[in-house]
Formats: sequence, C-alpha cells, structure tokens
Amino acid sequence: MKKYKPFFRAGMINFLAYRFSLLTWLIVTALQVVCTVFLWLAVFKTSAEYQHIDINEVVINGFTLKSVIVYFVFSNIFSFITFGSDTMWNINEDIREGKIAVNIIKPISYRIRLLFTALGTSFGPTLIFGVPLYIIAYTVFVLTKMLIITNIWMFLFNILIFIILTVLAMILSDSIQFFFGVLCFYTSSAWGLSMLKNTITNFLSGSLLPLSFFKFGHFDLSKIVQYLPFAGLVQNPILVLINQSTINQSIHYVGLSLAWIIIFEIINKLSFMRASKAITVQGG
Amino acid sequence: MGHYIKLYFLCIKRSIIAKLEYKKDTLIALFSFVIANLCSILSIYFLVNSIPALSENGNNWSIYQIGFLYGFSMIPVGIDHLFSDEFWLVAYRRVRNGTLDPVFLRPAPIMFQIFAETFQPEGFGELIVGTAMLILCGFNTSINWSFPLIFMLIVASIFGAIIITSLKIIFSGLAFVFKTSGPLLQVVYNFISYTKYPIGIYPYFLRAMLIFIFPFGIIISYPIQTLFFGNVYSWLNPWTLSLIIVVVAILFFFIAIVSWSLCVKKYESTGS
Repeated sequence: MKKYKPFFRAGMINFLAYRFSLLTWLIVTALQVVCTVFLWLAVFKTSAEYQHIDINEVVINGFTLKSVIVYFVFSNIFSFITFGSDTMWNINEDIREGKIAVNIIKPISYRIRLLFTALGTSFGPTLIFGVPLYIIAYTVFVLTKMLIITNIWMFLFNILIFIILTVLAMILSDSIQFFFGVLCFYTSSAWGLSMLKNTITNFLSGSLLPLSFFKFGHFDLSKIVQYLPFAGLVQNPILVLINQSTINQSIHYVGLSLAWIIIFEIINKLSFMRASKAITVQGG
Repeated sequence: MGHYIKLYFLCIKRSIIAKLEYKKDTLIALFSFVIANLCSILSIYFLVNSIPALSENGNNWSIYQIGFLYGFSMIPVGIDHLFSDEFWLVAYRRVRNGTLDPVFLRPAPIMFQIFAETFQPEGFGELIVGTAMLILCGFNTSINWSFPLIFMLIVASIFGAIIITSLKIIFSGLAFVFKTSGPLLQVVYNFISYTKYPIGIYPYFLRAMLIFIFPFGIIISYPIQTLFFGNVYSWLNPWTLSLIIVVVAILFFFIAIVSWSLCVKKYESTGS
C-alpha cells in the first residue's frame, strides 16, 4: 500500500490544483461581476438624476438596470459554460498547455478535430455544471423580479431558440478557432495571435458590454457590429434567453449564425486544402 | 551594494538579449496587449458615453477624467510589471517544479535573483497605454497643475509600484509554504482593476478593503480624486497623501522582506 502513496499524493495535488484554479477563476469572475454591477449602478443612478426619473425607469441603449445586470450575469455564465472558459484553463497552464497549443497550431486532422469538438461540447462536464447554474440564476432573477416572464409560450420558445443558438455558437466558435489556427500556421507566433483573437472575439461578442452600446456619439457602429459573427457567440443567445428578443429577431439570429458558419466552413476548407498542400511540399 | 547593482544589470542584459531572440513574439505579445487594453478602454468609453457624466458622492466624473484615472492606474502597475514579473512564475510553478533549487545554490539573496532573472518589456505596454491615456484625456480636463500635485503623482507612481511589488513578494512567497500560490496572487492582483473606476461607486466595505487592506485605493484612486476634486478629506492634501503613500510603501516592503524570509526558511528546513 505504502508504495502507492506518492502516486495518490500526486493525484491529489493535481486534483487540488485543478479545483484551486477553478475556485480562483470563480472568485476572480465573481469579483469582476461585482465591480461591473456597481459601475452599472453608478451609470444608471447618474442617468436617473439627470433625467429626474426613478432609477428603474432609466433605459440606456435598450437596457434597464435590471435587464443589464441579468444580461451581464448570464453572459458570464454562458461564456464559461459554452467556451470552457479559456481563462480558467490558462490559469491551470501546467495541465492544459500542450493540448491548447496543439489545438490552435496544428489543424492537422480536421475530421478528428470536429469529432472531438462535437463530443466535448455536447457532453462535456461543463454542461453538467451549466444547466443547474442557469436554472438557479434564472429562478433567482424571476423571484427577485429582475426578470419577468410574460407569456409561457414565449418563454418556452425562447428556451428552444436559446438551445439552438448555444449549439450554433459552439460550432461557430470552433470554426473561428480553426480559421485562426490555419492563420497561425503561416506565422510563427501562435500564442500572441491567439491572445489577440481571444481579445477581439470577447470584445465583439458582447460579453463585456452589450453591442447596442457601440456608438461614437452620432456614429452608430452597433448596427455593423451586430452583423459580425462574434455577436452570435454571446450576445444573441443571451438576449433570447432573457426575453429581450422578439420572435423575428430570434429567427434572424439563428439565420445569421448559420450563415456565418457556412461562410467560415467554406473558407476553412479552402485554406486547409492550401495549407496541407504546403505541408506535403515541405515535408516531402 | 554597488556589486549587486552591477550584477543586476548583467543579469537583465542577459534576459533582454534572450527576449530579443524572439523579437517577433515579444512584439506580437506587446501588440496584443495594446489591443486588449484598447478594447477595455473602448468598453468604458461606450459605457460612460451613454451618460453626460458619472456622479458619485457629489463628484461628477467626465469621461475624460475617468479615462485619466484609467491611464494613471496603469502606471504603477507597469513599473512593477517591468521588474517583478518572475515572481508570478515562482508563485505558479517554480516552487512546485523544483526549478527554484539552483537559485538557492547561488551566493546571492534569492529575492534579488528573482528580480534579476527577468526584465519584462511587456510592462512598457502598460506604461505606453497609460501615458497615452493620461496625455489624451489630460488635454480635455481642466487641472490646475501645481508642484504639490505633480509631486504627489510621481510619488504615487513610484511608491505605488513598490507597494504592488511588495504584495507580489508576500503572496508569491507563500508558494514556499503551500507549494503554489499563483491563484491567490491572481485574486489579490485583480483587485487593482477595481481602481480603474472611481472608488466612490463601491459600497463602504469594498472601499475600506481597497484602502486599509490592499491599499490600491490610496495609490491610485485618492491621488486622482485629489487632482480633480480637491482633497478627499480636508487634512489629506497632496503632501500628506504623498507622505502616507511613502510610509505605507516602506511598511509593505518591510512586511514583504520579513514574510519572504520566513517562507524561504520554512522551505529550506523541510528540504524537498
């Protein structure tokens, strides 16, 4: 028995390290959410003062204080669940380092990659965490009247569209990853580029700020940004989930995500064929 | 003492040369960093632009004043980033992996060696973005510049960096005791991002934490608030604030050295 002790210890330390970084990620995210909620509070409070109305009546770019907090909490939960929280894995570099690098740098076996992603995203343990989290958050919000369900059919329709949009977001995210993976193949520094891609994607997906805010005074960028593929990664599913989307808009979101998936897949197939030709020429 | 200074620059030169080997990587990392900050700044811009100004506790912050605060918050962070980046690795991996043991065998203080091992040019990214924000937003805010204010800002930048470094030393030192303390250091370090916004928006207990426990509020929030809106408390003029910052910096540095020594002693005595 004694000779197995070091293995057990090693396993425990790994397990604890994983748990540790998960806990850290949770704390860090919770702190960021807290910080942002207070910021939103201050913004809405100021707006209420200027307009001499009650804070709950203030509407900024289509959002009330309650809806923006609900949006923000769900967008954080959603990003974590759907995209396996890159940041969390980055914290736990020791274990994941090799896997991420391989995924991004070498688009070698396209079919296997696709298979892995399909398996990983639909049956991953993150989904097991996700559903309870969603339900808890949703229940809390409905009970505290931050989220209002007006029509049970609308609610069920929204849940259905949300599930569809979530799956589409996972596929679209994978397509974009693959696209960048092929790009990384042509340049040497994959790490910096992947950071760049993550930053821009996060920013344009509406996870930091709803896209309707993207305005420079009169110059309204939000219309353009809403049509980019990234919007379908976070904002659109969340808007549907929190009942901020009409039936027409919801169907529009589904169509938009589908269109971008098709576009990226065409590009990816072409560029991958080109890249594999280059490999065979070099490798001989 | 002079010996250590010479040694430091020798080590740093080696580190910079190594980094220059991967010039492209360093540049791309720097570029990504600037873009990341640009996105963060744009987010705040879009948010605050939707209202005429942000008011808290009677202070009305214009978007440029918030931008100035954001820029200034990056200065002490950038300075610290340049010199103490290796401590992150100590906290996360080096103790656990044992790659720190060669450091113990060399005839120089361990803390000094950690400092000398890496000079991180990424810190310039923070300094560049921060300074750019300061200049761009500074032009659009009306500040009655005076020597006490400038002195206070310089003191806050330099001694603020010392406080941040000291906290890094304290929490990365814990890795000697717990095998790894990276996540904990990460949490503490993230509190700095709270000071990117006026701390008046936070409830009392959060503000108290940012002033009395992790004094990021003292080195970032208070100086800028004093700059735009006058003394935070009637007795907290630029001179007294500077004095407090220096005292707190010395205190924290002292705690850092003591706690580091204790942790290292514990590590050496258990003999991994």
